[in-house]
Amino acid sequence: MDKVLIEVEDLKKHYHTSKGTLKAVDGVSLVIRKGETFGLVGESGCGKSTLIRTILRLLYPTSGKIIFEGRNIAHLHEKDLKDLRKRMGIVFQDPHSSLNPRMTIFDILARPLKIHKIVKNRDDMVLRIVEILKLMGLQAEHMIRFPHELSGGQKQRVAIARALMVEPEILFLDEPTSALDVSVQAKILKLLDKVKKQRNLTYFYISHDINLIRVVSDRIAVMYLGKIVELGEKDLVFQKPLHPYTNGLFRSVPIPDPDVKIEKIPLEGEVPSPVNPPSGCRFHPRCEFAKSVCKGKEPKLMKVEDGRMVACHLYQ
Amino acid sequence: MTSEDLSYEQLKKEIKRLKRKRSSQVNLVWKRFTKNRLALIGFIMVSIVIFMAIFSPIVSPYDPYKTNPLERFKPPSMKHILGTDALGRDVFSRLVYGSRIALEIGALIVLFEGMIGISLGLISGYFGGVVDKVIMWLVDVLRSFPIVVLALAIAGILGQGVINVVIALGTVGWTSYARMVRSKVLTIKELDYIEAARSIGESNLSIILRYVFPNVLPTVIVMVYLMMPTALIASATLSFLGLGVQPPTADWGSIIAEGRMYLLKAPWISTSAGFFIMFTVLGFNFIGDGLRDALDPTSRRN
Amino acid sequence: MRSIRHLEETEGVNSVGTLLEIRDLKVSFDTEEGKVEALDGVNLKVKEGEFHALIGETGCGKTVTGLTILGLLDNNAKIENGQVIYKGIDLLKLTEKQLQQQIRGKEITMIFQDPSTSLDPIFTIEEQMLEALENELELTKEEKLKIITEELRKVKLPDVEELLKKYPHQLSGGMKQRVMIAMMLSCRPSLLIADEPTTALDVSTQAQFLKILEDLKRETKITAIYITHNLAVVSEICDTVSVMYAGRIVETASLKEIFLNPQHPYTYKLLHSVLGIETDIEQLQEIPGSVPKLINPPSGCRFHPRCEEAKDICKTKIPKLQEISDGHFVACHKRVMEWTKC
Repeated sequence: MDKVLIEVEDLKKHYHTSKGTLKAVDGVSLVIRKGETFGLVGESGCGKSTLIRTILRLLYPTSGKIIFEGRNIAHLHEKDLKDLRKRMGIVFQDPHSSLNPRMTIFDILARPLKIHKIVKNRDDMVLRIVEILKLMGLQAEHMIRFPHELSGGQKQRVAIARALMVEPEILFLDEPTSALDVSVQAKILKLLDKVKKQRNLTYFYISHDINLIRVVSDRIAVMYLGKIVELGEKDLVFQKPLHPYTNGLFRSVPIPDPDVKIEKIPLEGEVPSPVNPPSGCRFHPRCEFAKSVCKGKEPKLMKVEDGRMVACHLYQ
Repeated sequence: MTSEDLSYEQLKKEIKRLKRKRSSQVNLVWKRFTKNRLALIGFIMVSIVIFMAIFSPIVSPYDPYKTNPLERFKPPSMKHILGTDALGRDVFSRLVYGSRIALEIGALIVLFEGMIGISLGLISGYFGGVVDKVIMWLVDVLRSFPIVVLALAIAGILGQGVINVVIALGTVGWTSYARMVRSKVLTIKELDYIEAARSIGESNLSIILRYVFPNVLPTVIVMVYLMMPTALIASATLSFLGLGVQPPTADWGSIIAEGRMYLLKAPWISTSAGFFIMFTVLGFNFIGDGLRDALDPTSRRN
Repeated sequence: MRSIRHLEETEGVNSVGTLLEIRDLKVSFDTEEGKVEALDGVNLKVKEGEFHALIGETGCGKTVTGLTILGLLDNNAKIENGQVIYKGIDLLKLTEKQLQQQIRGKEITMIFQDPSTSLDPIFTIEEQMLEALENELELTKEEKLKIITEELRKVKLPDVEELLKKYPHQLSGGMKQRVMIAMMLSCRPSLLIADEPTTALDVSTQAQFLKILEDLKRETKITAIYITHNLAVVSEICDTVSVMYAGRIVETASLKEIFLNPQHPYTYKLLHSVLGIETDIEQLQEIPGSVPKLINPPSGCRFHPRCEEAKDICKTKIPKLQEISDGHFVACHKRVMEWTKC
C-alpha cells in the first residue's frame, strides 16, 4: 500500500492566451501510492482535468517532474510515450463522446491489443474481448454494435474496458459517472470497485462531486485555481477540513436528508479567472479569515498535526 | 455465451451479422433520403443524365458529328426535337453526347480536387500550428482570385484539352474541400474519443485515418455532390471561352458558344444546352442537400 | 388567488389550495423508430405556495411534463389525453396566442438548465429584461426599470446598474441563472417551473442559488415545480416530491415521507443509490436491468421487469396512484394491497 507509484513535483502547465498566461496547473506536488484510490475534488476551472492530462502526458508540462515507477516522464518525447500508454489508462466523463461513433465495440476494444501487439492471433483477440465484456457485465453480442446503439451506462462500461485492455497499473477516472443517472452511477462505481480489487489497480478519481469522492477515495486532495490547498486521509479531511476553502466547499454540498439544510451561504462570490489570479493566497478575496499576510505571501502546502497537508497561513 | 465456447466459426458468424448491421445503417440513411421529395427528384434527374451518358448511341437519334448542309438552323420539330445547328447537326444528339464529356470531366475534377483538398484539410486541421498556417495561407491566396479567372490563366498556360481543364479547375477547387474538411476536423479534434485514442497509444496517422477521416466522410460525400455542379459549370465556362474541350467535340460549353453567334436566328441551340447544364446542376444540388439532411438529421433542425 | 384576465374558467375551480392540477395526461412523440409514449397517465397536484419536486432519471418524462404545461412541446409531440388545469382553466385548450399573451411569462414561467441558451447574446441584460415586461402596457419605462433593479437586488446580484449594461457573455453561469430568475420574477408569475436549474453550476454557486430560491419562497410565496434528478437538492428546498418512472408518476408524498418512508420499490432503490445517503460503495443499491425504452414499454406496471417484489398482477394491470396515508400517494399493487389489509 505504501509503495509510491507516481510522484508529481512542482508540476506546472501554463497556456498563453490573448489575455495573458493562464496558469491551469501551477505548482502541484503529490504522491500516488500503489493500490490506493486517490480522489481530487475541485470546482470547474480549478485545473483538475489539466492536471491528470498532464500526468498522463496527453499534455506537455510547462515545468516540473512526473516520476512514474522511478522514471521522470515529464519531458519524454512523444514517440517514447507508447510504452507509458500501456501502463496508464483514462476513463472520460462523457461516454457519448469518448467512443468513436464509426467503430464497432469490437474495433474499439481491439485497437489497444493491436497497437501494443498484445495478442498472437485473431482468435486470441476475440477471446480477450469476450472476456472483458463479460467482466464489464456486457454480453459478447455487444461487440458487433456501434456506440450509439448502447445506453450511457453500457457505453461507459465499454470505455472502462478499453482502458483495461492493456492491463494498466493505474486508471485515471475523470468524473466517470457525472453524465449518468444515479442508479447507473451506483452500478458503475460498484463495477470499478470490483475490478480494482480483482486486478490490484490504483485509481485516481477527479470530480466536482464531493459525495462521490467521499464514497470512493482513500486519500483526497482539494484543488483551487491551479493549486492544491489541502491533502490528506479522507476521513480526517472530511471530519475536520482545515483550509477555509475546503470547509466552505464541503458545507455547500446539499445533504440528501430533509432535516439537514445548508446554513447561510458557505462560500460567497465566485472563482476568479485563472488568467490573473489574486496575489498571495488565491483564496484570500473569498476567505473570511483572510489576514494581511494572505494578500502578500503565497502559503506553501505544509504538513500539519495529523500528517495532512494544508496550504494556509492560519496553520503556518 | 462464455469465452470457451466462442470458436472461430462463431466469430465468422458474428462478423457476418456485423456486416448486416452496417448495411442496415445505410438503409436508414436511404430511407430518410427517399422521404425527402426534392432529393428524390434530384436523384431521378441525375439518373437520367447518367443514363444518357452511358447509352448515348442508343438515346440520340442522329450522329452528333454528321453535318447536313440542307438541314441548317431547323427549329425544333418532330424530326429534330431540339432543332439543328449551323452545320445542320442534331442539337439533341449533340447534347446527349455532351453529357458524357460533362460527367467525365466533372468526376475527374471532383476526384482530383477532392484528393488534394481532403488530405490537406486533414493535415491542416489535425496538426495545426505552422503547417496549418501555410496551407490556409495558400488557400486564401488562391481564393482571392475569381475562380474562373485563375483557371483561365492556368488553362492558358497549359493549353487546351480535357486533362488541362481538370488540372486548371482542380488547382483552384481543392481549397473549398480543404476549408470544409479543416473546420470539421477542428471540431472532431476536440472530442474525447481523439484524446482517448491518444491515451491508448494510437499514432497520429492512425488517429487521422481511423478516427478523424471516417467522421469527416459524411461531410465529404455531401461536399462532392455540391461541388459537382461548380465543376460542371466551370468546365462549361472554359469550353465556352474556347480554352476547354475543342470543337467539334460535343461539349455543352462549346455548344453554347457556337449557338451564341446565332442567338437571334436559332435561339434553341444555346438555350437547350443551357437547360441541360441547369438540369444536371440542379439534380446534383438536390441530391447534395438531401444527403446532408439524411446523414445528419440534426443539422436541419438547428 | 388572482384570476387571469380575459380567460373564462372552463373547468370549474380546482380543489381548494391547488394551483395546478394535471389529470391523466398522455403525450406521445412520433420518431423515426416509432411512437414513443413519453407520458402515460400523469396525475399531479401542485398546491399553492409549495415547491413541488419532480424527480426521476433521464427519459422518465419530467421535462416533457414541464413543457406540456406551457405548451412548448416540439411539433412531433401529440397530446393524446388529459387536462392541465391552472386556476380553473384547462391550459391544453388554449390557443397558442392565448398562451403567449396570458400565460407564458405572466402566469407561469420556466427556467432551464443552461442559462446561456435562454439569454440572447446580442442584447444587454437591461434590454432583455425590458423585453420581458413588454406586455405591461400601463407601466412607463422608468417604472419598469425600477421593478427590474429591485428584482436584481432580490437575487443578490452586486452592482446592478453596471450589470444592466452588460451582455450575457460577460456574466458567469451562476450570475446568468440569477438574472433569469430576476427576469422571471419581474413579471410576477404565480408558478415557476425550474428544469434542472443548478445542474450546470458548481457546488458553491449552487448553494448560493438555492439560498436565493429559499428566500424567494419565504418572501413571495411563489409556487414552483422543481424538475431535477438530484435528490440532495430536492431535500434542501422542496416540500412535496413526485417520483416519475418511465412516463408515469409512481409516488407522491411530502419530502420527509419520501425520504423516511418511501413506499414504491423504485423510490426506495433510487434513494439508496444516491451518494451521501449511502457512504460506502458496498451499501449502494443497484437497480437490476435498465430504464425501458418507451417505444415498447413493459405492460402493467412499467417497473415490474426490474422489481424484486413483482407479482403476476404487476405484469398485466397498470397500478393506479392511490392515497395510502394523508398526502402520500403510491402506484404499486403490492403496497396498496398491504395497506388495504391493515
